[in-house]
Amino acid sequence: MGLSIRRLIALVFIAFSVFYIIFSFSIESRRMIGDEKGWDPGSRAIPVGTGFIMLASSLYIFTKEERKREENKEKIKPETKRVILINLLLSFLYVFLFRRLGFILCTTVFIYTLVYFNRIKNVQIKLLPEYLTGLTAGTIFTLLIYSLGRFITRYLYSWGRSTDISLFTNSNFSAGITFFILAAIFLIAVFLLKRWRKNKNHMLFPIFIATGVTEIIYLVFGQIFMVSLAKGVIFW
Amino acid sequence: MAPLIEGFTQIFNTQTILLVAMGEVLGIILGSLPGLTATMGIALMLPISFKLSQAAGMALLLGVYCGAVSGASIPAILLGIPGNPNAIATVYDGLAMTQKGLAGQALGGAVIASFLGGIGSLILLMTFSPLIARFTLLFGPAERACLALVGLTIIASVSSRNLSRGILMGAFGLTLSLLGTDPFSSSLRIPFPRLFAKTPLSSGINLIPALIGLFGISQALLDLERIKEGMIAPKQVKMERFFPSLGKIVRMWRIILESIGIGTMIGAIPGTGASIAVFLSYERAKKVTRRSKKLNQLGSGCLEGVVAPEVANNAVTGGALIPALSLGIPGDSSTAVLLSALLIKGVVPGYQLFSQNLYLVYAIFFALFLSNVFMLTFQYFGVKWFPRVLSVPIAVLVPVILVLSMIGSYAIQGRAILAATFDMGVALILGVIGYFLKKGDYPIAPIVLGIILGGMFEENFRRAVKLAEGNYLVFFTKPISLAFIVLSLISVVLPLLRQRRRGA
Amino acid sequence: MEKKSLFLLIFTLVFILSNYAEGQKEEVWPDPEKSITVVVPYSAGGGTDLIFRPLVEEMKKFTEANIIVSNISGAGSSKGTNEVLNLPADGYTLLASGTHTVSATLQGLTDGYKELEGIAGLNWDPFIVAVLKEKPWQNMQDLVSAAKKNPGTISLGNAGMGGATGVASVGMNLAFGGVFNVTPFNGGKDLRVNVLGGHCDVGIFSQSEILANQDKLKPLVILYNERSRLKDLNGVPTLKEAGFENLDVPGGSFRSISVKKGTPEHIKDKLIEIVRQAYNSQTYQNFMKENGLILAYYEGKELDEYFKKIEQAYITIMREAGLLR
Repeated sequence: MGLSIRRLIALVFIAFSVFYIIFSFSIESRRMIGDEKGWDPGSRAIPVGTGFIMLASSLYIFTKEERKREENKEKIKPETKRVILINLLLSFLYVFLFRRLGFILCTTVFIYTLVYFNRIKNVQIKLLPEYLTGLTAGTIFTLLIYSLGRFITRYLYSWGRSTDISLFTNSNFSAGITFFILAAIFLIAVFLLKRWRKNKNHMLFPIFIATGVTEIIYLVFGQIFMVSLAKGVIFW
Repeated sequence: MAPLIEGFTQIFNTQTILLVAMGEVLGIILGSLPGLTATMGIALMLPISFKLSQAAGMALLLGVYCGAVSGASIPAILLGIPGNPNAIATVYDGLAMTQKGLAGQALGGAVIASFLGGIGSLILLMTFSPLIARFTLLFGPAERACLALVGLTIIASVSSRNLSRGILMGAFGLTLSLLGTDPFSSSLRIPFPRLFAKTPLSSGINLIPALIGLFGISQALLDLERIKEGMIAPKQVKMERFFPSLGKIVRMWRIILESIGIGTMIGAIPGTGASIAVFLSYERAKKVTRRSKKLNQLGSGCLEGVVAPEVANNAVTGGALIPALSLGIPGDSSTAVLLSALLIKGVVPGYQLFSQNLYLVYAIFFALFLSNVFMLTFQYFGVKWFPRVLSVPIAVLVPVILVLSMIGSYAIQGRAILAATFDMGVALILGVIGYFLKKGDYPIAPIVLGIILGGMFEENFRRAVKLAEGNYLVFFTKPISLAFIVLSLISVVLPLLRQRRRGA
Repeated sequence: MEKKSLFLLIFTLVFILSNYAEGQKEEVWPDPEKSITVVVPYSAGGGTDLIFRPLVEEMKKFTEANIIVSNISGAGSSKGTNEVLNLPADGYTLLASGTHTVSATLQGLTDGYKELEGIAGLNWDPFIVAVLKEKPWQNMQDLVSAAKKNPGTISLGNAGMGGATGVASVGMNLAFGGVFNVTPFNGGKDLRVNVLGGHCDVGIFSQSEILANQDKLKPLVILYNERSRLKDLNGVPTLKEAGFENLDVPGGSFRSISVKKGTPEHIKDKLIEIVRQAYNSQTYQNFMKENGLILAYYEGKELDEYFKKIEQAYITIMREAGLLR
């Protein structure tokens, strides 16, 4: 291993700068609006300059950087590597499926899966049924709470309109009501299930985390700050 | 006198006080969540402010503004993820303090610093407003291009012991900021322009997703490496008081005063933003502590390193209002939205504001004061509770951070689903890149600063040359820009000399 | 126990689902629960944003659905425009269109107005050419003769290449034989700082910008065929009055509301009705009066026709400036 990660990165940047310089010379140079005399330095000037600075500094790091001070960080264990890979893989899946499946489904599955696997030291195939059961239960639980919330909001809307009580058609108000009802349901569910199963149940833990996090993010980002989180397959 | 009293009564009544408090809470939540910026929060509150009187509406928005700026330091200190670009410099010492078990102290220091910065800049706003406004007008394209250059070189020297790595990262940030459409000629500067012309790539890489990716996602991945240890930070030291003692604050007087000055000045120059201010003040504080024996060295996780940038970024709020009120030109994008609340009500900021609506100016001063007081109060209670986040096991915390980071990147263009999903991808990819860079001990902050300042540098550079009829020497003939060039040369050469001396 | 509760859960879910499915059939527009988004392709707090926010406030009064302003700025105005074109034509997304849309379309940045249909035209905001009070030019004649004496030494700033001030500045420069150094700035505020600081000699502004800096700016000419209706700016001569008879500079920004092509007629009619009521409300009429906006109300097809007229005026300038794509 003659190549430390630092010099490896420098090498990558050398290659990147070469590509970047080639790319910046290929940029089409159009005239600035109203620039008949060609006084504008043009679209290429800064990219080309930046490319050369990048090339110079990465070359310097690659050649001059003292080699003796190798990182003496402990090596990452293979199981930790596995954990990081799972997290990354799921994040990429999350981004790819976000628009198709929608925020609610994606987030529940993402959080549940990661919380489930991050806590397990050695993954075995026989855990699959347990995982899948939990996943289904978690998804249904989230969907149920979400649907109930939508139902309440919708009902309030139409009721508010038919009775002319403008308070109910106020989105902040209905979000607030929904929040309290759902928080109550969520807490009751947590409480009851803890009662039923006295032992610290590891299977239920990720489910509640997944549902709770999904609903809270939905409430804060979607309801209060009006971000239109993708609906995906959940059309209602 | 009458306008003063009018302004006072407009603000100090139950309704308005409650509104400011509400705005403040909302702002703190907003600031502490990635992707939700102060600008967005204020824009969201605009419709509500329409229904209020001018003064009350402004007070509400100012509350959101102050809260958002101070809230951003919470995740920066606890998790190493700045809530918005204003808090990038807070990450260094803030996170280091958390790793030492001093999260409560760091948060407490940040709150006091925010308060001092806010009040300090308010005083400058009230007293020297016309003077500072005239000073900011001296900044033309040439001066601003050179100021951006100062920001880029200072960050390269501040963030790492190794200058070349800082420069490389800054240049990398520049290349990211240059992606997209040329601001002057609409040339597409993306690879395979035919293919990607109508995709979100054509408008380049957005700052917030890049910030979240480079800081947040990469930090979450790093935390995963320590999943065996259970928590991301060691057990926090139990302390009776979270806030720095008066003596400690007094000892930091130079850092605080200089940061107020830097923050207010930079904030007052339109189109510069807080990010230069926080790094400039951090760099200044570094110089001050190096000479002083009583103060701790920056970078090792000390209060001084949290206080300097936090004073500065809150001083920016007052600074940004200076050109906004006296010239009608907002200092940053948040104040731009603030101003529109006035404009829609038929009040034209600038000349007319002072001649016809003086009471409103006073009302704004009072509201700003009130929101700083509320900021202090709410954060006072928060400081005790926020560090509890650190007792959540990594196995649970990291997935939550990942989702929050991605949704945060999404939220910034939350109405444009295609572009928003693209932003999530940008955050994730830059997160992976940032992870490897951190492993190689490359500094991350210069990339973000490169992205922030790249556009400012290029636009003003080209504009200055164009205005000077194609003469590149324009940067050396204007005194301010020449001074900036010298300053940035010093900040590059000085560390080199010091390195050489140490090496010899 | 677990099986039972699971079953119960699924049952409830199906029940709720079927409930929604029924609601879905009705097809009322607008669905009071959904929000109508008005996409403003410029940042919040900007000139265009300002024209639309009060209108949206009024529009809210005439429909059950919530209406929100969403600022999607970038790449001239084309980013926001493209985003509207990417969304379904269901009437829930409106675009704050206008002269900027025409200009961005002609520059090939977006398919723009070719893919849009008009809801309503709103108003014109005429531009005013102004310089710093300290500058030696007292009127337009002074300025032009000084520029002709030393071509290229006097800089003429606009608020960005994509927008209407960009076209106006190029148009003005063409009209005077290319004697100005036309320089784009990063939005109206950036331009104003630079003119106030003396870094840029001449600027093209909207009326409210001049009002904000009345004490420092000297308005020379209004680029419109009639004088300003604002008391403070009524003394500013038109181009014709300033002694330039045969010049035609498209100087102003026109604002309108459009939807994506293919939006059902009944939805468009409904939208037109909402906008008309909001437009005619006392509040919005007052707002336009206070800001010196010139009324230009067109509905539906009329607006599409009007866009063609604007295109005609722009196309010659864009061609000569080499911006046409």
